[in-house]
Amino acid sequence: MKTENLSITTQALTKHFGSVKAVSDLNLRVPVGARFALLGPNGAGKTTTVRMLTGLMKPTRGSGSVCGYDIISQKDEIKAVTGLLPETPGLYSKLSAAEFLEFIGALNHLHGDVLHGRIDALLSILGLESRRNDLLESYSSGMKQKVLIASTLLHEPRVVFLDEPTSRLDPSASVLVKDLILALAEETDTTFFICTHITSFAEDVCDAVGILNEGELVAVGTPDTVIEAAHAQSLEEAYLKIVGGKIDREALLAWR
Amino acid sequence: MAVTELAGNWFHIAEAEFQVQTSGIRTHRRVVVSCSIVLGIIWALLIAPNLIGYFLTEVLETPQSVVAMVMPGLMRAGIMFIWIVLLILPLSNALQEVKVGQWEILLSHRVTTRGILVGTFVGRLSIYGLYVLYLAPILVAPFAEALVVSYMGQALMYFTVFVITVSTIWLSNLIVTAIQSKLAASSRGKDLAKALAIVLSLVAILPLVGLQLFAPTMSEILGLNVFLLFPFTWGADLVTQTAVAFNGIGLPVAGLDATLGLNPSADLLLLGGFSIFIVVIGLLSADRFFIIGEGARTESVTTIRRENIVLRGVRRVSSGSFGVLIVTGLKDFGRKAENLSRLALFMVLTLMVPVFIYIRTGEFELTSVSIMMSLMLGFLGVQVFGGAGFLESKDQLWTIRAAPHGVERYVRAKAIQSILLIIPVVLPPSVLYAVLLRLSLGQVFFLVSTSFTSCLGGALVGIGIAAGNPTYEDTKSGAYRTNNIRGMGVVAVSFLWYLIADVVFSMLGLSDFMNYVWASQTLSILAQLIPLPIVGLIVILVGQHRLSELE
Repeated sequence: MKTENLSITTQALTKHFGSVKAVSDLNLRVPVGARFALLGPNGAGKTTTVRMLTGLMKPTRGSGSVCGYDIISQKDEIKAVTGLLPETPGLYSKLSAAEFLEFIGALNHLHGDVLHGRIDALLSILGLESRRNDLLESYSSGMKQKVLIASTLLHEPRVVFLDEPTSRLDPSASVLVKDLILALAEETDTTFFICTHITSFAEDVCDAVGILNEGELVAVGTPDTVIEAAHAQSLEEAYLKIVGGKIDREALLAWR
Repeated sequence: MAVTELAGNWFHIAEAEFQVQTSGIRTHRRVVVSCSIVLGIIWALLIAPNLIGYFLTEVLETPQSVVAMVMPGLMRAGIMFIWIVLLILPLSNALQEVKVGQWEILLSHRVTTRGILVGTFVGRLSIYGLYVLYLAPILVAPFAEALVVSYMGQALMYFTVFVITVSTIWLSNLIVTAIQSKLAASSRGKDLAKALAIVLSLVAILPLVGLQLFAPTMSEILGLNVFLLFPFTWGADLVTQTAVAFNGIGLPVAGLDATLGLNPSADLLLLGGFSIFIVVIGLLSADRFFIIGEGARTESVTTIRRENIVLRGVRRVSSGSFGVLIVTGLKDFGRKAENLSRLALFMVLTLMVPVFIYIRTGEFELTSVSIMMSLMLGFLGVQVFGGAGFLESKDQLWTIRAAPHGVERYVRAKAIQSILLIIPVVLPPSVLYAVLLRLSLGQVFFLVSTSFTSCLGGALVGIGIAAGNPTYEDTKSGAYRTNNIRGMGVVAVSFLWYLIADVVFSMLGLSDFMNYVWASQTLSILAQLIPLPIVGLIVILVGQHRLSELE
C-alpha cells in the first residue's frame, strides 16, 4: 500500500479493555493536509483511537502509522511531530498562561526566543494577551480551552489531534478555532484529526468524516457522501440514522 | 402535583450525608453500622467497666483514693482530647475536599438553609457519635468503677459526655460550613483550605503528644483557672462532680468546688447555655453560610510579576528547555499553599523531635540528633515531594506523555526541583542544633550533609512511588494512603537495615567488621543513612519506568 501522501493509516487497529471492545478493526487512511472528523457518541472509542495514534496507548492488535512512523515502535518520533488537545483540560492551576505554554514548549525541547515568540503570537491570536500573566486558576473554561489549543500548536506539529476542541467554547471562539484550523490546513499542510460529536462543526470544517459506533467504524467519506449514503438531508440526520438515538415523542414523555 | 414536605427535607440530606460518610462500607452499610452500635453499647455497659475495673484493682492495684485524686486532671485532659478530635478532625477532613457544588443542587430545590445545616449535622453525628461510644467508656469507666458510682450517676456521666459530643459536632459542622462558604468559591480558596487542613492535623495530634510527654505538666496547666473559659472544662468538671456526688465509697463532695473552680450548677448552666447558644446561632445564621459563589469573573486574579533571583539563577545555570521545566515546576510547587503548609509542618516536627528526645533522655548528643533529624527529614521528603504535589490530574499526565521523552524529563526535573527545595529546608534545623550542641564547623557540615542526603533520599522515594502509582490530588483515595504508607515504610526500613546487616554479617562470621563500624561514630551514622538515597534512586527509576509504560 502506498503511504507517501498519507498522514495517518491504520490496519485492523483494535483495543480491548478486558471484555470491553473499545475499538475494533479500525481501518483509516487520512491524507496529508486533510481535516478528518471522527464522529461518535460518548464511549464510542474516539479518545481511545486518538491515544493509540499518538503513542499513548498500546493497541491490543492491528497496526498504524502517523507521518510514516509506526505507532508501536516509533512513539517518540510520533510525539515529536504531533500535537494533542486532550478531551478535558489538564492545566496547571498555579501557572500563568505564558508560564504553562513555556512548560509545554520545554517538554517539546523548545526554549529561548523561538519559544517566547510563538507564545506571544498564539496568545495574541487567541485574544489572551492581556491575561497572559494571570494564574490559570482564574480563567473561565473557554479561556482554558484556548490556552490548551495554543499548547497543542506551539511546536508546529505536522498532525494535530483535537479531542472535542469546541465543547467549552462560546460561538465566537468556536468560529476562531474553525478559521485557525482551516488556515493552518491550507497554508501549512497540517493534518487535523478531530474527535467531536458536534456534527455542524465537522460539516463546516472537515473534508472527511468517519462515524464510530461501539468501537466500529460504521461510515467514512466526505460529509456529502456520508449524508447521501444515509439518505439524509444533513450530517446530523445521517449521524442519527447511523448511530441511532432518535426517540419518538411518546417515549420522551413516558417517564411522567 | 405532589409537593415534598419542606419540613422533612433535612432527613433526606442527613441520609445522603450518612451515605457519603459510610461510602467505604456501602455494600454492607446497614449490617456494619448496626453491629457497631450494638457492640458499642455492650462495650460501654459491660466490657469496658469490667475490663478496666479488673485492670485497675487487680493488675495495677490502684487505691481508690488515688483514682479520686487524679480524676479532675485526667478528666479534663480526656474530654479536651475528645473535644479537639471532634472539632478538628471533621474540619480537617472537610477542608481536604471542599465542595459547595452540592449546595447549588440543594438550594435549587425546596430546601431551607436550616434544613441543610441540620441534615449535614445529623448525618455526621451518627458516625462521629460512634467514635465517642467507643472512646467515652475508656475515660468514664475507670472512675465509675473505682469510685463505685451508682447506675444513676453513671447514666448522668454518660449523658454529660453525650451533650459535649453533640454540641461539639454541631459547632464543628457550623465552622466547616462557614469556612467552606468563604473559601470554596475560588480555586485559591480551595488551596488555602487544604493548607489549613494540614495545619489542623498538627493541632489535633499535639494534645496526644503532649499527654504522652508532659502528662504531669499538662495536668498542672489544665488546672489553671484560664481553662474555666473552655467548654470542655465545664463538661469534664461536671462528669467529675457527678462521679463524686454518686460515689459509693463515701468520698466527700465538700471541697471539690474549690479544686475545680466552679460548682456543679455553674458548670451545668455554662455547658447547657453554650450548647443552646451555638444551636441558636447556627439556625439564625444558616442563610449567611449557604451562599453560592459569584463565578470566575468576580474572583480575585493573581497576576505574575518578575521572577525572583533564585529562578533567574536556575535559568542562567540551566539555560535550555530542561531549565525551563525546573523553573515552571518550582513556580507551581511554591504557589500552592498546601505544599508550603506541608513543608512547614514537617519542618516543625523535625525541629521538635530531637527536643522530645532531650526531654525523655535528658541529654543532647550528635549521633541521636543526627539520626532522628535524618529520619524526620526522610519522612518530610516522602510527604512533601511525592503524593499530592506530583501530578494534578490524569489529563496532565496525558499532556506530559504526549511529548517525546516527556515522562523521563518530567520526573528528572521533579528530582532536581526537590534538591533545590531541600537546601533551605535542611538549613534551619541544622543551624539550630549546631548552636544548641555547640558543634564545630566540621560537625555542622556533617549534620547538614546527613540531613540533606536523607531528605533527598525520602524525596526520591516519594517521587518514585507517586510516579509508579499516581494519585493526582485525591488525598482521600486508597491509593494515596497506600503510597504514603509505602513511602514511610521504605524510609523506616532503610534506616533499620543495619539491624538486618548485623545479623547477616554475624552469620557469615564477619562480626568484627560490624563491630568496627559501630565503634566509629561517623561510620555508624553513615551506615544508617546511606541506604535511603540508594533505595530512593532505585525507586524513582522504577517509578519513572512505570509512569511511561503504555496502558
